[in-house]
Amino acid sequence: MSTPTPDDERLRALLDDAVADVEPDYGLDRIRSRTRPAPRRSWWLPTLGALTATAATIAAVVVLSDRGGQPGGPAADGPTASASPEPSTRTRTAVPVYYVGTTPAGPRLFREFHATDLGDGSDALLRSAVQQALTGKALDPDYRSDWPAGTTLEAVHFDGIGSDGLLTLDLANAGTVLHDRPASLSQAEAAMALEQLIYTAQAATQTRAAVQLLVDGKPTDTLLGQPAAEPLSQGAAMDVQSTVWVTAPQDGDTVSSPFTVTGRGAFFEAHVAWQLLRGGSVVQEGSASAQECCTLAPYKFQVTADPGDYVLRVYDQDMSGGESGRAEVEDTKRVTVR
Amino acid sequence: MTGGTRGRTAERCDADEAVEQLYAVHYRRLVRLAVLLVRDQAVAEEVVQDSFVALHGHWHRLDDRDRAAAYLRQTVVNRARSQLRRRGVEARYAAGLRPDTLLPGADESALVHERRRQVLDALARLPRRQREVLALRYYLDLDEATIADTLGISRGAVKSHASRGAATLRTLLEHR
Repeated sequence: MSTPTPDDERLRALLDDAVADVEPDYGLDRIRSRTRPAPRRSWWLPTLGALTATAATIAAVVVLSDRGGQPGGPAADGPTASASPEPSTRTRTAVPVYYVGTTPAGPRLFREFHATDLGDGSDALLRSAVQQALTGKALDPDYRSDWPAGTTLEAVHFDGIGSDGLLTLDLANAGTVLHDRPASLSQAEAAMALEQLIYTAQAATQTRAAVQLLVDGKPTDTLLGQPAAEPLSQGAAMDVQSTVWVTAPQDGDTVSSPFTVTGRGAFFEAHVAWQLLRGGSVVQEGSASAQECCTLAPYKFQVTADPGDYVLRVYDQDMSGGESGRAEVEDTKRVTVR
Repeated sequence: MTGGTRGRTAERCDADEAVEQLYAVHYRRLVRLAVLLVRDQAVAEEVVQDSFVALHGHWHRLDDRDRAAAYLRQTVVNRARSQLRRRGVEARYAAGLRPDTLLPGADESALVHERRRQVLDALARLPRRQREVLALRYYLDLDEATIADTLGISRGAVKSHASRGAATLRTLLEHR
């Protein structure tokens, strides 16, 4: 069994193909509703609360090995499902899209989920995610896309399984030459524009597959002045992603009090500082602990607030009281409490 | 509002986060694995969701958190097996009835692709162990030792189920 034979390859391709178009419904909220101690409103992806999303498309935060290791000895029967999942319409999907935001460290990526009606085809999710990344219509007004206006996605292709596959994105722009870096973009912004597509395509396919970027169907030595001849892998998270992220609620969400804020970030001493602002003034503030300090780690806290419109600000607090001159990395979300 | 204390809440929070992260990485792949095992997507999703709930409950008894993925995998296989048993699906396949007319969810457009259906039908006709070994070996790309651990059988048994399963699958697909 150690040496792969042509037969092995054929079987691998056969089984992979057999389930290639299985796109599960968004299942995390169902799992959560069953692991939560007390009945409470589902807070996860509030914008999708009323919808049934069809795909599990969260960018991987932590990659745990799916290979090797021994099972921890699970019981064959634990809690048993009491009922089949409710029927769903299978139209809306939570599509992960990365955008660029400005941070004190320069341009960095932030991720949003967009509830999107997808068409048919196994690459519909990938196509939609990359298209949305190019056009830059982020929910959060602080995010943007730096791709030249009019850049379109002509074709996508995902060939392979998991991290061994190759993602191909074919771009075009009738009005702008994509080969060179536009004068309006800094070097860092141009580099981040490429990372934006790499991260988005990988999130949409839930892989770390390398991304080959084409222009008008052909390989190009540079794209926006960045080397692009070879398939590109993603840049290191700490260099590319913002070090402070709010993943829920999303900008513009309506929530009921109390609501849970989740996100991740690399905070000094794992200290997650937050404020709730109304009309520019801080009406409430607090702090929580991230799971780990100084690396991109998840955090979570609850906020209780009266009904109204707020801006939620989560930031990496400058403990020196401003003496260090270090700007605070932040992510802000407009939230309506009903 | 401060979350610094370790205790039940923090532990629950750990389990929640772990489930969220494992979900992001493994959910779709496990559902697809379960489809290979139980044929029906709705049942497959239920099986995988159950497995995540079980993992959440089991989280603080896992001696090695790196084994979470293995735990999930094994739980999915076990639960897929009990689902099949409960529904008597294997018996129906053995009788040669078309699964589409019997199983809920099989009328999904995703299932109409003929080639795919043939493979899933053929898999469903295999003896249970052969199907499990083929799915773990060729879909999840697990090595022999890991498959043996997952299924609680010897490596020799893995080897023979794999070769018999592959041969039967080939015959079933060629004779269609």
